[in-house]
Amino acid sequence: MAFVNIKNLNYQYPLTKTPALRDINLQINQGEFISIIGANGAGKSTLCYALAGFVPHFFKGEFSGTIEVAGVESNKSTLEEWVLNVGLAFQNPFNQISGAKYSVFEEIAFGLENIGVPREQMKSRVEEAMQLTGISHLADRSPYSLSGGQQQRLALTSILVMQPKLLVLDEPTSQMDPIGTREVFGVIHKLTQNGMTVVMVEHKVEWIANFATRVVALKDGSVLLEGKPNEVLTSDALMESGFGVSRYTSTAREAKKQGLWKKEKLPVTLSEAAEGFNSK
Amino acid sequence: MVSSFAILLLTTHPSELMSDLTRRGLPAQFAYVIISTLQILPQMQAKAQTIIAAQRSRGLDTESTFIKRVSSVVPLVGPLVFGSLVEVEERAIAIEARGFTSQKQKTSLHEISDRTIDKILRWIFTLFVIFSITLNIWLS
Repeated sequence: MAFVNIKNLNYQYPLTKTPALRDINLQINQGEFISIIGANGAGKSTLCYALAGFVPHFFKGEFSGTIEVAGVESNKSTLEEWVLNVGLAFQNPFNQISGAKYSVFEEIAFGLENIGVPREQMKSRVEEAMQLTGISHLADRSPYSLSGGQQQRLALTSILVMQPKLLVLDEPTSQMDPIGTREVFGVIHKLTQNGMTVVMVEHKVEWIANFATRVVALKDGSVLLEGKPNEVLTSDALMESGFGVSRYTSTAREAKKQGLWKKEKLPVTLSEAAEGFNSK
Repeated sequence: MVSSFAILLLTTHPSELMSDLTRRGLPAQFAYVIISTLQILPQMQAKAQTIIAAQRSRGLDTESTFIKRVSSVVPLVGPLVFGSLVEVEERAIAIEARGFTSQKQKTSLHEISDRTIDKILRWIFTLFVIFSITLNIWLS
């Protein structure tokens, strides 16, 4: 039995005419790093909200189908219980800061205070989480004085400290410079090596190719493609769907037409491209 | 009254004040509204400045006659209010994701010591307030 099991999921936001998710079926095993890609409006964020329980508990609307995480069904659980198992972080780090705390340490402890963790445990859990994401040196700073990358790592730490079994990330690096992106991916990579199951919406295809175990491409609310990163990211179907593929993939695709790319498999990353063009 | 509030806010760390008030029975939602307002106001101010700069760079008149200034209120306040409403939803999701609505008994990171001297001082000040009110009524 898969760790996460999505069955015939359909969802439509209130006051809208078209469904946001159509008949999604997806199984995720423990320890997998799933990357979700797709154009704007493909349903990526909605799928994240559904995994994190906010659909249908926070956003009402028409919901059918089931989502199971670790054997529990989301619509048979309450949001308070669900967030203990599934952590959610999203795009804008600024809006994820609670606004109720004056230091990074307090901010991370906010979630633990809410769920009634005893004080002695709280301190060690916060310290442990900060070490994992490498923000221990920021403990006494005000959350509002941090850079975007640091704030996003703070948001991530604040979720990780709750010790979720599944981590859902909705474009956590979209507002980040290359350094911030590297920081965030570094943390997520470390987490997956420790056995965390991660579902992440991400557009930076080169990073996905390096880290994800599986890629799911969404289009108009349904699953368009699903498979190994290289297979999905270099597929013709993805390019035809209008998703911005890697420039190395499109270069090699053109080169292949002119016989300059000899390999069967198209590249996604720079190193794959360099290797392919160098090989005879 | 105003100055005593100022002294309170200057001498007591807001997060400590709020965790103590919540411990004494103030609803957590209420404490959150107060403390987040204190924190978010400067951010709102910064955002208002950005909006003013953005609208002025598009030719909005904010400095000439009174009537022109009044008519430029809508393009300044509109984005601020609507932007904040969108942010509120995201922030609500973010704090719910961290168990804000959990039914469990909340704990606090800070241990707030309530020493004997604090208790004595509290009684003295309560008596002092009663005394000064009585005196005020008596003398008037």
